[in-house]
Amino acid sequence: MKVKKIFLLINIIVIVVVLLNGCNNSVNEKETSQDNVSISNTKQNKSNKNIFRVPLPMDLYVFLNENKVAYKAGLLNSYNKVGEYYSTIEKSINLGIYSSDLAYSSVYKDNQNINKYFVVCKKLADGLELSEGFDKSTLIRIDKNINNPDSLFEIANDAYWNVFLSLEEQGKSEIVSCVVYGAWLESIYISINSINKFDINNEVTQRIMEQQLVLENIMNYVNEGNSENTKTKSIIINELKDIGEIYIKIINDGELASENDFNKLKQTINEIRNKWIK
Amino acid sequence: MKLEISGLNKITSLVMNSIKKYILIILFIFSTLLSFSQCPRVNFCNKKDLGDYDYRGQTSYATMSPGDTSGITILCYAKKDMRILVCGDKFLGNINYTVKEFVKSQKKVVKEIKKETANFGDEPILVTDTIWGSASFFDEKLVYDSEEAELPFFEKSVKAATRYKIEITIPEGNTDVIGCVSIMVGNRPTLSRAFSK
Repeated sequence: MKVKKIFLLINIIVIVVVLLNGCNNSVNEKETSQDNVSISNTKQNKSNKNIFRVPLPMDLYVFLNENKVAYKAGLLNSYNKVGEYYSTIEKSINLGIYSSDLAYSSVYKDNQNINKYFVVCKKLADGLELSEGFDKSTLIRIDKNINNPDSLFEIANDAYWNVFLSLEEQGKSEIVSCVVYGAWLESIYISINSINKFDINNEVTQRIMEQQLVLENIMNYVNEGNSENTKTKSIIINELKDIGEIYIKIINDGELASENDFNKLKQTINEIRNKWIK
Repeated sequence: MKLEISGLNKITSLVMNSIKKYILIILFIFSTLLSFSQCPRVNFCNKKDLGDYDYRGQTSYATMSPGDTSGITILCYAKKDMRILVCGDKFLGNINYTVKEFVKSQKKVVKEIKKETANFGDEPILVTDTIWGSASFFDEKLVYDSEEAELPFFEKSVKAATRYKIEITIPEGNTDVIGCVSIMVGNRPTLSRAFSK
């Protein structure tokens, strides 16, 4: 009995010593993180990673604003629909769509909608158990800066970027693919429905055409990030392919591209986007 | 006396076994965490070199070991200045990187080869017809090599939307070591270079 007690006591001492030692090491590591080689696991093979990146959806909205393209609040996905998305794929894609709407309203200084769209983003992010980006502290920052459009723009940019990075860090590749795809889909939907006429020589039309490069990067991002062929992956890839085929035709036709081709692109984008928002 | 000695031996062996067990468990947890975690958002680059660019959007953080290579494809819109820097943990050595631009070109391609039998007088002959068309290709043009460059970063004012590929190589060394690399991709609106009257 006595032996057991001594053994238990020694066990506790060992745990405490090991834990304290671990804490000390982590402090030291922080202090000299750039100079010291930390412990690492054994690695046998050389790796060759391929990463794909796309600009923030905010960049496209800034361009529209700079080119005097009018703001259309009617294009935003209604925030009242937030409770209608149940599956993970619906929640993730609509988190992308709503965060894109948040970016759009912040670029155009629609302060009334910024708060509302942040709240719906937070609701979806909570549903997906994401703690970073659309969190309480950001909501407080928005409230404090509600009359400062420049700060709101930065806060919206930070929120999207932090969600993206935190999802990548957590290895939630399927969710991050959906968010990136949803955000891009909304930005191309808003852009294509903001112009009245197709003119290949117009800068805004050209920027919409340049989205074919973004589309390819998203397709590669989804492919590289998700090694398994899941249903979600194939849905996104097939939709991107549908849009991509029309893009290729318009780009190859160049000056000869017709209004019809452009309308077909618009129709396909509208159908896919409206399918997701319900 | 004998009882005391055997009791002490028992305690010593129990302690040694439990220590071994804890070390193994802790090592297992630590290595699992390290192998699954990504690098934290640490910027290893000199702040001066970063300049007044916005690095949100296409910056990446990666775990790499000596001998590893990595490729990052990014996109820059027209009328933007972009700056690319790659930095990492010092123990990884001199991280080399190149930036390649995707240059679009139209090339003639064979779309179809038609083989038909036609009657030439009384004799049927096989006619082969090649249908040509054009298609877009992307060639990779080297625009920056950190080994030869004077500046520690790549910078460009982009006139038309362009894709770039950043290729990173970690020098050979102890492959058991894993370090962090930050691939900083920044952009800002192109500053007007016109003189004001």
